[in-house]
Parts: sequence; structure tokens; C-alpha cells
Amino acid sequence: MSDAARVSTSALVDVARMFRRSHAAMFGLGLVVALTLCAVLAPLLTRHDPNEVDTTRRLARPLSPNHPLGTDEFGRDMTARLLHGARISLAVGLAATALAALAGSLCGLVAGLGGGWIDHAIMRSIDTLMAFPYFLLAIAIIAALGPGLVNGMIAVAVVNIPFYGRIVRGTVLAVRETEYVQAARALGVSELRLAVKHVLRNCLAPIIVAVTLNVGGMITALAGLSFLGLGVQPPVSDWGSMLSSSRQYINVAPHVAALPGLAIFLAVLGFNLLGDGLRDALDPRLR
Amino acid sequence: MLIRRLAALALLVAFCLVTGAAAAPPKDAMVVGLLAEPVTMDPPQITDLNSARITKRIFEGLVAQELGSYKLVPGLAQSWEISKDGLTYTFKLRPNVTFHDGTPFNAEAVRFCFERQLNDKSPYYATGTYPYVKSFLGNIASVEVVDPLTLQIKLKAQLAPFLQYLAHQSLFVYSPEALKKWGKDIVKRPVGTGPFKLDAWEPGVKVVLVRNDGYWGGAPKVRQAIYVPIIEAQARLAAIKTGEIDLTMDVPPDSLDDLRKDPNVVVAESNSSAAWYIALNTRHPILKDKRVRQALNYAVNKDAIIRDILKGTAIVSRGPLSPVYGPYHEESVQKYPYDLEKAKALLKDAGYPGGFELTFLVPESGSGMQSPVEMATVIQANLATVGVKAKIQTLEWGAYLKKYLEAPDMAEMSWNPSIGDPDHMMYMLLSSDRFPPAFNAGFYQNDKVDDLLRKGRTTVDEKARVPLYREAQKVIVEDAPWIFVDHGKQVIIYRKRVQGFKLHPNFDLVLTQVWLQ
Amino acid sequence: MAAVGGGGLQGYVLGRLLLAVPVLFGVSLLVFAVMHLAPGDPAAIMLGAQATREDVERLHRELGLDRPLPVQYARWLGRVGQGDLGRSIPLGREVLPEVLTRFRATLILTGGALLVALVIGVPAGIVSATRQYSWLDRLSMGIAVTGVSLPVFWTGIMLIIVFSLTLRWLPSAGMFSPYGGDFADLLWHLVLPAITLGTASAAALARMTRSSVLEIVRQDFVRSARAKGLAERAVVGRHVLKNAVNPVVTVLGIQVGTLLGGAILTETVFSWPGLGSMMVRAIQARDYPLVQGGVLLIATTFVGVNLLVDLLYAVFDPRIRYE
Repeated sequence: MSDAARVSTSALVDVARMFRRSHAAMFGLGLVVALTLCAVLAPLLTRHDPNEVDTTRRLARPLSPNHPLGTDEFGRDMTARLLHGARISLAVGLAATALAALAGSLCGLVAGLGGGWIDHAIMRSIDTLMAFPYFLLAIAIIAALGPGLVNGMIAVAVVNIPFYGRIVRGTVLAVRETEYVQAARALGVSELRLAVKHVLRNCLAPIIVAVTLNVGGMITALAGLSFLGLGVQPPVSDWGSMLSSSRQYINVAPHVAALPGLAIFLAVLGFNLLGDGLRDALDPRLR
Repeated sequence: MLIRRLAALALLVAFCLVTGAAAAPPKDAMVVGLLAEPVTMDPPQITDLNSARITKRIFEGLVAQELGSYKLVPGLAQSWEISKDGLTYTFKLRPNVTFHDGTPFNAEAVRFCFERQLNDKSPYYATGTYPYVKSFLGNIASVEVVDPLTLQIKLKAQLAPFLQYLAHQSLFVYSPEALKKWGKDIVKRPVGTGPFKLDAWEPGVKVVLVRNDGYWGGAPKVRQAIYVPIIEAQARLAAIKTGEIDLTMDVPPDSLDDLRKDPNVVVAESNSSAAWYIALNTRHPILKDKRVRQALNYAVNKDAIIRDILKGTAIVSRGPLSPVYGPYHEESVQKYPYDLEKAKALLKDAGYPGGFELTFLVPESGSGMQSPVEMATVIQANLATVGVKAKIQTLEWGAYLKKYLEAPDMAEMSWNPSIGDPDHMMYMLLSSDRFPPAFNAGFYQNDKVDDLLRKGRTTVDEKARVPLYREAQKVIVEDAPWIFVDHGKQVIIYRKRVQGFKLHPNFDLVLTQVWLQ
Repeated sequence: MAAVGGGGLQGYVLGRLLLAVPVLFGVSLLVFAVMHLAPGDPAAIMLGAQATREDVERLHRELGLDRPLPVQYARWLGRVGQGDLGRSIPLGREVLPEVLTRFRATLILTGGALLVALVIGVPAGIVSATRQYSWLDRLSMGIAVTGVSLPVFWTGIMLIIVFSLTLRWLPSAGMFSPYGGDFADLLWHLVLPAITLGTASAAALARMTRSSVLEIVRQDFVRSARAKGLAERAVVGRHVLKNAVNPVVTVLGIQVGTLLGGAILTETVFSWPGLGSMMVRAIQARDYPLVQGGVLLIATTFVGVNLLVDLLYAVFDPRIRYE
């Protein structure tokens, strides 16, 4: 094993150890793992069909026979709906984050490496995107593309591109000027290889942290779009649309509103704690 | 230091909590909670119900509807005569009536109002857009002032529903001087002849109307009527229960039982002319077979929808006309009770024993659409049991209206005419003269029906007219161009202190005769 | 960012102002493009069911919607330059007064939320930092991470359930009571929405303040101030706070943007008559002038606030001006 590789493995072990020491971070990890399992194993964890309508058993309270978490306004089992909703919310949240991270990082990379007018053009575009009221932009994009799961994902991803663009560009600029890179450049190593090796390696940590901390926001943003009726379409439903349709029943059956929101909250909390833990472990200066 | 500041803030908040609690309502003022805020107060430009509900207190038409029915009674016209050929209408106008700005009401004022919309060369034509001018004024050949209190309108062709059109808000009369003065801004400066006038309009917050003491019909007993927009159904419910508002509608159906038991609140219901249906594309390769359309009607459990989702705030629809249309309503049409066996048999007959797929267009919301998404979900489930897979596509209202007219397989619609004439329901929606961009979205065409409806439009004599529409209903229901679902009831909730309130079939909220305890 | 034009503060301000122009241009172009790309015709929507094709086309001509897009954009921009934002298509009323009235309501809401955020967040962060690792620190940071994770529309609904429906202490909708209209009435209606919107910001501010203060406290000059014997409060008050202000102000700037954007959901839940809820309806009605005017107003505010933040930054730390 080369020196460099051995160094990285031990660094990884250090990070893991520091991570494990934080109770909050472990709790966050636990939440995320639990939610992922729920989402993946959803069909196995409940025998109810989340879309099975039974209008005679509407708005049953939690702890009813057969329905541990009650039913919604159509008599559909809440447990089943929450579990299947997890699939949508988590999957789309992660996909949107990945999309934003990829697109944003690309922009940042090009801006940082290109310099000059390319840098200016991209940064001004990013500023424009950021000046646009966040949620309004997502709504406008949905108006242009039409509502739906995929379009919602695109809308939320687009709005978050600036976030990653700035991080990557910042790292690129910092790395470009280090002596190590300048020396390598003097030796004739191509710009592109330099970029790929050093920039990406340096970006990895902040991006991982950024992504983890961002997923929660994406999940909430998507839920928000569904809440306004612009995200998923029936019969598919995610936690956001469940929350939206429950509003008129909060008088008689508050659990139909409380539970989906609680699910969103726990998911976001999990990712936030996880992200905090990763950030603290990877960059001790910030503790 | 910080603690002191926080304590002061907490005290301030507590103070506000105590003093901010709503004061007792004044004895001669009432508050109405509407679903949305009004858009405009210029009668010919109004297309939404909430603007109409407010504006109809300020303006009046030549002809009025008797409170509680579609029967026509004198309004600003005391009497009228129709010539034998049905082409000339002569109106004798009410004397000594003035607009809220003091200018006199006369035949010239009425002519001015009609002219503004009809004549695109008129200098005031550009002060607004007139969605209804073609439908309601399109048949007018001329409007003449015979003398200050006599107006003569000549039509191009006989049109039986014409008098009912005059009761529609787009033909209400407003002060010409006000229009000349305000131009485009007339939308927020209404000047009419009605029992109330506009006192203040804070957009998004409230509209305040005050009594017109000089009203020709006698000043109303309510001095001040305040309209507040409360978008959330749940919030309207809370507001009517605490008495913050005095009258409202469209509360969550699940809360009606609770409200009926509340001694401070009255729950008033009545049938309306609204029809909620699903338009089927009669040119679709599968849906063009009548048996398939009938099967869909048998497969939908309308009673369950009304009982469980609408909580009894509707009656099952047997056809396009609800019982509110009186003699025009035909009861002995083919019925479509919930019958899965019949549905499956019909589908098998038509050659689709295994079912098929359809796209189902659903609006997120929309005036009069009841609970569009929930109802669509149940209907989708109903149809699935006979093998018909309806793929739901939800759109927000603006985009929905556009797509609705582009031949969707099946699409929800609710039609709630403010004109009490059956022509407005049946001809507009089911005649082959009204293919998109008009509203016969399913391209339904039946020569017999077309013939009956066209005759109905020009037959002024009611005795001869009624059988035409009844026959048409029989044919239409058997053809099943729609899935007939329900006729929404009008449900108004008001506090006990509101006395003398009566429901009106076109969902208007008439306050002229109301008094407060 | 190099100083432009003259030296010092003036040059800095000028430079930042010049940067704002292309951004606002970009925003105007973006909103125009997205709105016009969206399917749906405002004229058809407005004229509704009864319209014929000629009616719709006539309205297009009246509103100038039949011209090619670049021409429409140029005309709109030209009028904006003169302060005319046009008239709303369905409402027929002028855009600017409409938008300003609703914006005032959103500003009140945002202001309330900011107040909540500052009053709760900053002290919590300071307290946490000065008692690092104590149970108070852990508790307040735990609450902070919770606050940041709460979805704003859920918080609003839960607060309504508890305080409006169950306890009947506070109203669940609107900005004023029908008969009310005074300041106390406004505050009463503002409490729940402001707390809803301000929670996430309060939490973010608390975390930011804490780490910012901690970083300063570690630094040498603070240690030497302590060594000189200054009372703890003086140390915190004078040296730490002054230097911790910068990053906090930055975060505040970001928070204003978030608040303006996040207000939409809060406004929807509480039926607050603000700009956000109006914009959602305007987008649905394809009311081009209203949406474009509203977005421009929000973006200008956002850019303005950022400018202010950068200025404050420059005032407090002269080094920034010459970067």
C-alpha cells in the first residue's frame, strides 16, 4: 500500500472515530438509516395498500384496531401512506440534491478553472438565480413545466444550484494558488489533470457536508411544493401532499396533519444531525 | 439587561393578547366570510362568484329574480312588453331613481351601459374587457331611448332566455358619469342604484359596504356589511364558531354535524342549479360507444361520494338539470344506480371485458369544483373495479381550463349558471353549436337534441317550451355524454343574530331584507 | 473585489451598485421568460368559459400580447424604467399600488419573524457560547437544530391546532379582525405567523452566533483583555460582540432573503394577505404584469438588503474595502 493510501485510510478512521463520539451525530445517522429502511422495506412493513380507499373508515384515530396510526379522509391506512410516502420524499429529495450538486459543481468548476469572462458570466447568472425569490422560482418553473414529481425535482434542484456552485468555485480558486499545484503546473502537468486530482479531492469534504445538510432542505422544499398542490399528483402522494389535504380536517382529526409533518421533521432532523456530525468530524477547526 | 428586554417584550405580547381579542360586533353591522377576495367591481367584467356577491348589492338590472327562485320580477324596469314577433322588448323604467353619486337613472343611462360593451367604436369601450358581451348581448340589433323612462331593445332573432339575461350582473346598470370620470379605474369605484354602496376596499383585507339610505325599495336594516376573504375552509369554520364572522359558506363538510348541533349557528341548505360532472370525449375510439359511457355511469358510486366526501351537501345528479329548474326538470330519465354487474356487462357487450386505459384530467381547485382531487381519487378507484384504469393528471385552474378544451378523454367540470334558464345549461354545454373553444368539451352531438335545443331557444311561449327541454333531457341522459355525478347543494352557515336571510339558487347572498338581533 | 473608481468607501459602494444592475436585468429576463414559456393564456383564463377565439385575440391585441416576445420584453422594461409596472390582466388595477400594498403586509410578517429570530436567536447563541459544553449549551443547540429542521408549514399548522383551535388564544387567519384595524389587533394576528416564520431563522442565528462568538473568544486579544482584569461582561460586551457582528450580519442578510421567499408558505397557512400568496395566484392566472412586477420588487429588495449588509461589513471592517 502506498504512503498516500495509508494516510487516507488512517484519516478516514480518525474521522469515523470523531464522528462516533458525538451522540447527536450518531442519533442523526440512526434516524437516516431507520427512515431509509422504512422506505426500502415499506411493502414488507405493512399489509395495507396505501391507496386502498374505504370511505366507511374515514379519519379513524390512531391506535384503532387494524390501523395503528389511524386512517385519512379516504379511509386509507396512515402507516402505509407514511411508509410509501417515505419512498417518494426520500428518493426525490436525494435525487434533487444529487442533481443540484452535480450541476452546481460543474458550474463552479468551469467558473473557477475558466476564469475571466467565463467566471464572470457564470457568477452573475448565479447571482441572478439567488436574487430570485427562492420558492417563487420553483413555482414559476412548475408553471412552465407542469406539476408532477419529476418537474418538482427539477425545479427544486435548479433553485439550489448556486449553493454548490459557490462552494466548488471557492475551493477551486483556493487550490489553484497553492504551491503544490503551482509546482506541478511548472513541471508541465496538464491543467485538467490538476483539476481532477487536486480540486476534486479538496472539494470532496465540503461537498459531502453540503450535500448532507442540503438534503433536508430539498425534502422540505419538495414537500412545500406538494403542499401547494404543485408537486406529486394523485394517487401518488408524498408527505407534503398528505399535509396539504389534511388541513381541512385538523378540527376533527389532527393526527392526519400531525403525522406527515412529523415524518418530514424527523427526516430533516436526521440529515441535519448527520451533516453537522460529518462537518465537525471532517473539519475540527469549526467545532 | 437582556432579561429585562425580553421581559418587556413578553409583557407587550401578553397585553396584545388580552386587548386584541375581538370586540363585540355592532348592532347594525355584519361580517361575511368569503372564500376569496373580490377581483373587480365593474359589473360587465365580473366572472367570479365572490365579486358578484358583493357587487350585486351595489348594482341592479332592469329585471330581477325573486328571492329564492329564478322567477323574474320587476327590477329597475317596472314593466315590459314583448312584441308578437318576439323581436322588440319595450321597458318602462322606474321613476325617481338616482345613482349613488346623485346622477339620475334613466333610459339614456341604460343605453350608455349597453353601448359601452356592444360598440367597439364607443369611446368607453377600451375601459374594460367584457367576457359576456357575445353570449348575452350578441343578439341585440339596437337599443333605443323612446323617452327618459322608456327603453326599447330590438333583437336580431327570437331568443327565449333574453329576459333572464337581463338579470345577469353583466347587464347591470351603473352611472355613466362615474365611468366617464374614472375610466379604467371604475373597477374599484362602483356607482350603482342598489341598496348598498361601497365605503372602503382594502385589498386582501376587507370590503366595507354601507346602506344606501335613499334606496328606492326602502333602505336595508343592516347599516354596514363587511366582507372578509378567508381562504382556508378550516379558518372560516373557526371564525363562524367564535362569532368573528356572521355568515359564511363552504366549511369542511365533516364539521357540518357539529355545526348543526351548535345553538348559536344556523345551517341552511338548498338545492342549486349547479351540476358537477365528468365530460367524456364522445369522439374517443372507445368512449364513442354509448354502452361504454353508460357503463362508466353505473360504475361510479355517487351515493358514497355524496355521503362520505361531500357529507350530504349534494344530491345525486340524474341529468344536466337539477330539480331547481321546476317544470323544466325531467324526473323520468334513465337512472344509473351503482351497479358493478351492469357496468361489467355493458363493457363486455361493447367489446372491452378486460377494461382499458384513460387519461383523467382533474383541476386542483376551481370555483364550484367541490373537492375535485378527492372525488377524482374515489372515481378512479370506482372505475378500477371494472377494469377501467383512469390515469389522473392534475393541473392548476388556469392550465386546466386550457387543457379542458383540448379533447381530454375524461375531465371534471362544474357548471353553475347564474342565469336561471335551462338553455344556459343545456344548449351551452351539449349542443353541437358549442364545440370547443365553447364548452361542449366532449364534442357531444345528437341531431335530435340539437333540434330540440335550438327550438327551445327561440320558443318564447313557456307552455310550448317545457316539453322540448324535457324530451332533450331524456335523450341526453340515455346517451350519457357525461358521468352525471351530483348537484351541489348550497350550504350557508350563519349566526343566530342574522334574521330574515334566505338562500338564492344562484349562490348570491342577498342582504336587502336581513336584520340583526 | 477591487475598488472601482475613486478610493475608499465611495468606490466600494459604487462598485457594488454597478454589480447589482446586471443581476436585476437577469432577474427581469428570467421571470419574463419563465412566465411566457408557461403554457396557458391569461386572456383565455380571464375571459373564461364564454369566450370565443375572436374575443381572446382582441384582448391579446389590447394587451399587446400579440407582439413578438422580445418586443414585449423591451416595452415592459421601458415602462418599468418610467415607474409604470402596467395593469394586472384579470384585476384591471395598476400593478405598482397592488404590489406595494401586499409587500407591506409581507414586510410586516418578515419584520416580525426577524424580530423573533433576533430576540431569541442571538441571546441564545451568546449564552451558549459563554457557557460552552454546559447543559444549557447542549439544550439550546438541541432546540436550535430542531428549529432548523421543522418544516415551516407544519409548524404553522401545529401552532394553529394548539393556540387557535384548542386554547382559542390567538386567531388562525388574516391580518386584521373585521372590525379591528389598530396596532394591537395587528400584533395579535402577527404572533403565530411571526413565530412560525421566525423559528428556523432563530435557530440558524443561534448556531451562527454561537460559533462566531466562540471563534472570537479563542483569539488572543480577548485573552489579553481578560488578563488585564476586565470584567467578563465588559469583555463579552465590548470586544467579542463588536467582532462577532460581521458574520451575524451576513447571516441576517441571507435570512432576509430566506424569509421573503419562505413567507409564501406561511402566508398560505395563515391566509396572510402578503405578496407571496398573491404571487402564487397571479402565476396561476398567468398575470404577467403582476408576477413580473412583484418578482422585480422582491429581487430589488433582496439585492438592496445584501448591498446594505456588504456596506455594514465594510464600515465595521475597513480591510474589506480594499480586497
